[in-house]
Amino acid sequence: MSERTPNISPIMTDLLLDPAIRTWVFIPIVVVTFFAGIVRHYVHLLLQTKKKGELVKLQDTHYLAKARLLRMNGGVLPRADFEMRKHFLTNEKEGYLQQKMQAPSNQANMMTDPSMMTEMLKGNMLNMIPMVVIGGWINWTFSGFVTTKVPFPLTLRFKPMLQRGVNLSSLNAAWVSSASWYFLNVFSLRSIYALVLGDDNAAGTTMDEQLAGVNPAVQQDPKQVFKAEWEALQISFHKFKL
Amino acid sequence: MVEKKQAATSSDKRDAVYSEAAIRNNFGILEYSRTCQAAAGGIASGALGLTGTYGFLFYFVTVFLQAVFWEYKAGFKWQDFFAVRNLSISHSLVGGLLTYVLFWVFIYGIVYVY
Repeated sequence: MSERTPNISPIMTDLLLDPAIRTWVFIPIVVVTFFAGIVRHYVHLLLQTKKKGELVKLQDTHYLAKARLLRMNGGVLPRADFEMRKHFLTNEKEGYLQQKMQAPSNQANMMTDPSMMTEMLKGNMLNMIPMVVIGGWINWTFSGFVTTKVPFPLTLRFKPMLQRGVNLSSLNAAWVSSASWYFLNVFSLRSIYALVLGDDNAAGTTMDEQLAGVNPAVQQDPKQVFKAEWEALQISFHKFKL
Repeated sequence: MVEKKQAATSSDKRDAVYSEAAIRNNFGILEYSRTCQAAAGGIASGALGLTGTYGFLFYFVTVFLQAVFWEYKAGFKWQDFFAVRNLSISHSLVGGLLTYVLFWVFIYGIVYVY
């Protein structure tokens, strides 16, 4: 790999990089990162434990959907029918939603729920380990030379971070090493995974997204959802469209 | 491309009810086209050799262009399809920026450095 020092040439590049770097470093890092993500997604799919749904939970979901549909499409029902369904759901003493709202909250501590913990841990491990392993390998294999030049000017403070193995003090901070190219790939390929793998892909989420998504959603969910649905039904009134 | 589904049905003029599935479908469309726009913009920017500020400026030009396309696709009645008005500009701005930078650096490297 040869690098010629800059001289007074009017061409755009100040460093000339061996095309072998392009073929064997630049493109392979992109390819490896991309396929590692795809593999991660499929491994995640394979390792997923089948969740056994409880009958009560399923029933709840269905009733919620029924309430929502009632709100949306109530206009095609005759008034009496609409009121009857609304009464069934929201009545003070025997309405289904009311009962569910008063039910004691048994979502005391979601963090200690074993099945969810293992799910979260598995997800975290699955994401972190390949990233660390591949990052380490890239750092070890492709060290000591710059990989590419980023098109925007960077301050000198970024130099030790972005030019890990290269110790040239006069080199423009825009020239980056392979490790930083790898990290740029990892962060930016997430939206492309959404394109390729469909919307809910396991390759795209990071640890904090998982944590934030699971925790608050489950803890308050059932009671809040019923309450919201109850309120919405209360205020909806029947306008006959036919 | 999948058509945007009409999300809002207003049973009266005061409040509109948004259909879950349609909203999700619409967001999927936004995400998809945002990624494509970022990729195409990045490739163009790298090939053109834009550096520094001009590069980032170009990204925001493509964002604006994409917003125009989305508004046109929605028949200029954004509220019928989305609950939030400024989504046409702000949806997944940073995600798109990352994708844009990736393609920008990649193509710039391929074309100008090697």
